[in-house]
Amino acid sequence: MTQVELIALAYQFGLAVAFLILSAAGLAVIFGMMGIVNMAHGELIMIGAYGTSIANRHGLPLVLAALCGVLASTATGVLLERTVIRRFYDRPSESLVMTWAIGLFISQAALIVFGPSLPSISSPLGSVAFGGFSLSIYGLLLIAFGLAVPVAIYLLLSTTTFGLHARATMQNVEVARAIGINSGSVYSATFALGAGLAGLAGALYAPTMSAVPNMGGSFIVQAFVTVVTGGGNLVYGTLPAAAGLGLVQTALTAVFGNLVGVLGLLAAVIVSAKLFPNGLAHRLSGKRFS
Amino acid sequence: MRSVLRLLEGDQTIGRGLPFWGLMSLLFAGALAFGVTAGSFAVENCSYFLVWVFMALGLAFMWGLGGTMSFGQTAFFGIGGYCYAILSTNWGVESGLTMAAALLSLAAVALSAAVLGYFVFFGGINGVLVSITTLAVTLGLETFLSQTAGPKWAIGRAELGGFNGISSMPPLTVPWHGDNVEITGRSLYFGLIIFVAITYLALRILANSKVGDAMVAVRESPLRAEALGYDVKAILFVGFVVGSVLAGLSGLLYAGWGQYISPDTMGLSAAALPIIWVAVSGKDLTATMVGTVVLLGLSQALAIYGSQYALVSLALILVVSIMGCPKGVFETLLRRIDSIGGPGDQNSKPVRKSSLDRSEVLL
Amino acid sequence: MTLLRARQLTKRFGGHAAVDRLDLSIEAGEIRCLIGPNGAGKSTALALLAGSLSPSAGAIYFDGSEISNVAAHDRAKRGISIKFQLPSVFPELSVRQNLKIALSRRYLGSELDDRIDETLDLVELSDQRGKLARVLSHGQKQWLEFGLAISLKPRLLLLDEPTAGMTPEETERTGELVLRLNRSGVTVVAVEHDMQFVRQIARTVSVLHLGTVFSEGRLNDVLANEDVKKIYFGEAPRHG
Repeated sequence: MTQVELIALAYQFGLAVAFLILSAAGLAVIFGMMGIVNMAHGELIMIGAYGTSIANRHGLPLVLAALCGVLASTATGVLLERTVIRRFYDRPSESLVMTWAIGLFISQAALIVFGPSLPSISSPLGSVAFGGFSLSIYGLLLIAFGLAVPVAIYLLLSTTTFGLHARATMQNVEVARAIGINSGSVYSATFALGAGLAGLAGALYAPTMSAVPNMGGSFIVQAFVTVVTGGGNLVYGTLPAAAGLGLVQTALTAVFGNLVGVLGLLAAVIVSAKLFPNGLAHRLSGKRFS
Repeated sequence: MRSVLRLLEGDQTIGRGLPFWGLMSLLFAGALAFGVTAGSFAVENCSYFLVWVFMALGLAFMWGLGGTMSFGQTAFFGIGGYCYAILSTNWGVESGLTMAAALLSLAAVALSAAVLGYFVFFGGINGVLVSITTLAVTLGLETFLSQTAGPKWAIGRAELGGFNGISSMPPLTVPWHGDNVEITGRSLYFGLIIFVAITYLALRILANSKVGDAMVAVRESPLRAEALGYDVKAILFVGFVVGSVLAGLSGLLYAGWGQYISPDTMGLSAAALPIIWVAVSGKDLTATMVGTVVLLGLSQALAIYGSQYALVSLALILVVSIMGCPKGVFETLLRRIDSIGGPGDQNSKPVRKSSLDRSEVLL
Repeated sequence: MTLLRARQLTKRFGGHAAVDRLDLSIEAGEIRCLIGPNGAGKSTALALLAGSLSPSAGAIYFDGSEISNVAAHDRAKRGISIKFQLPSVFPELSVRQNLKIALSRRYLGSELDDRIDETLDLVELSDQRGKLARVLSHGQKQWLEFGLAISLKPRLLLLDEPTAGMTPEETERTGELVLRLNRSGVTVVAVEHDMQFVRQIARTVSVLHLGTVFSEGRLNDVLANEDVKKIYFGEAPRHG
């Protein structure tokens, strides 16, 4: 294998891992801290992408448009949390059905309002040639974001007051309440954060794929797979899980093509569920969700 | 026999006594009368509704009783449908081979449910992660089948056909005096009505039997169930396989009904449907059976304006009904009807006086 | 006859041994209380005996055969029953249904109904039979769980702090219940903090400290021991 081929493969691997991390981040934050599986995750991603695409079409530069996308999904998240989700905090199974129904509603409403697809926005930044191989600079940016997001969340949780309150609430709601932490607002903020991260994934990938109402579907398998494997912790769970799954997917895709890559991902999940029933995070950190 | 029939009523099912069974008989007779009198299009359309009832009943069984919320129902629906399509395309209709294809498809569904169930439950996955794992598998299967276009994806004479799926396989047939009678139209409708009734009664018996007790124990408290000697993993596994096989049955009946099956039946919005039916109806078997047919009729009426309008309304109905009627619309109605028939047997025994030495009798 | 024996039983969590080379021997028909300060490994020991935890090392023998690797539900079938520290009942089922699910493992038909009524009487919940278990008071939940735990006619009943959260009067009645069960042939091993209760039910106590048996004997003798007093007040000598 030549050096160029090696770099090309490393680039593919980086892209796959970044995709897994960015898809999963919002889901993992909400699941890890609140124990709620947000089935509307894919639709929040879609809102991020739609927001970006629409703002961009109205003349905003891509960076600002992406910001609009993130804001749109965050606002949706806040709205959902206020009206519906907060009634289901202690009922994980019902919250699953509930968020699922909401997701279905959002995607079908988008179909009705915006039609089957939005015009696509072009991928910015061009590419660099490397040997006979060209690397998209935007792809490198995605990889950078894939690494930066878990680190940023880690810093948020370990250095800020919100992080302290969030960790306290996560470990013992009653005690947290007793020492004066408003667990309700911690949950609201966590849900908004998760929704915002979903929107970020949508905004970042908007220039690389066509914006359709059910585009969330292309993210959520990867997102769920990563969270099932890794558990709810971004640094100890999502990162290593994404790295492992990305490796499996890239290797299989390179040798056997796309389909085997995706199927390999599923097989890897089922096997890892057998090996680490409580998620990688449990195995790596010795505790659940912390 | 008598002790088995006693299990038609019990703690794990709603509905007891004459008023309830009278109502159910009336429903059954009405359904039969409809099959005789209604036009052939209406009958065929109702067959379409009935096809899905098995899958919904399967989900109500594993979710309502055992607490396992699986998104895999549509995956097993697809496996059942595809297996039937592949086998019957290859074997044709001679000498009842479509029945053999149907039975073998069910076996294939049972096997795949057992494999997935083994990894999920004996792998120690529990709670919401079971739902997510089954969803990932369902979507993976859809992804796989969607790209099977072209002649290289063929099994014998059956091409898998990618997005388009498989069509024009034979309907179910029964050999009759050297001829093969197709089960379509009215005969399919009557067959389905009887089959739904049998499945419903069988599930009621199962729900009130020791199997049902075990599933409820595991749902309510795995820890206590285990301490009572229940093998928690095995019980979750059995519930999952039973429910999944019923989904497979729906799938092969669907393929036989429309002579068509495609990966769409496994997509995200398809996977939502059984969940919506069961959650809106209530997880009781009777509520699910009735509710599924009603909701299917409703979504068909709405789909005249486009399927997105049906789905958007169903999603809204689900949100509103869970918030307003968490036990399910039809289950709540049924409990009303049931309470007309007098109080249940839990209060029928006279309360005895406590006696100090009762333990010597007991132990 | 020795009904239950633990030999060098050890459970490690990470580097910490919660139960450390524990030797225990329980005679059939005995009531044994395990006492000791918090963190002594009492609940872990009970969980190991019931099978909800599996040991890192050592062996457990029940009725002459080794059960160290027998699954919890199979131990239940062999006659080991446990009442957990936090009341563990079926919350969304009625009191009667709770008992029915437990008793239907042994009985059928009208005999099942009779046994349900008897057990309801025994745990004094006849008047509550139609209520959902989750709305019962704490003490009633504890008693319902007693009913569940004895429904399999266990030979060995493990009790993890059976009187936690009970009023003194409830505690005393629970003690009477345990004594009654014992008279009918059930061997009892209880983890308990309430010395009044221990005095009421137990002839022999084992003091656990740092995951192993520190001292064993009659309650008053054990409590008079200076070393035992020390471990209760924190300045423990290493077990020697």
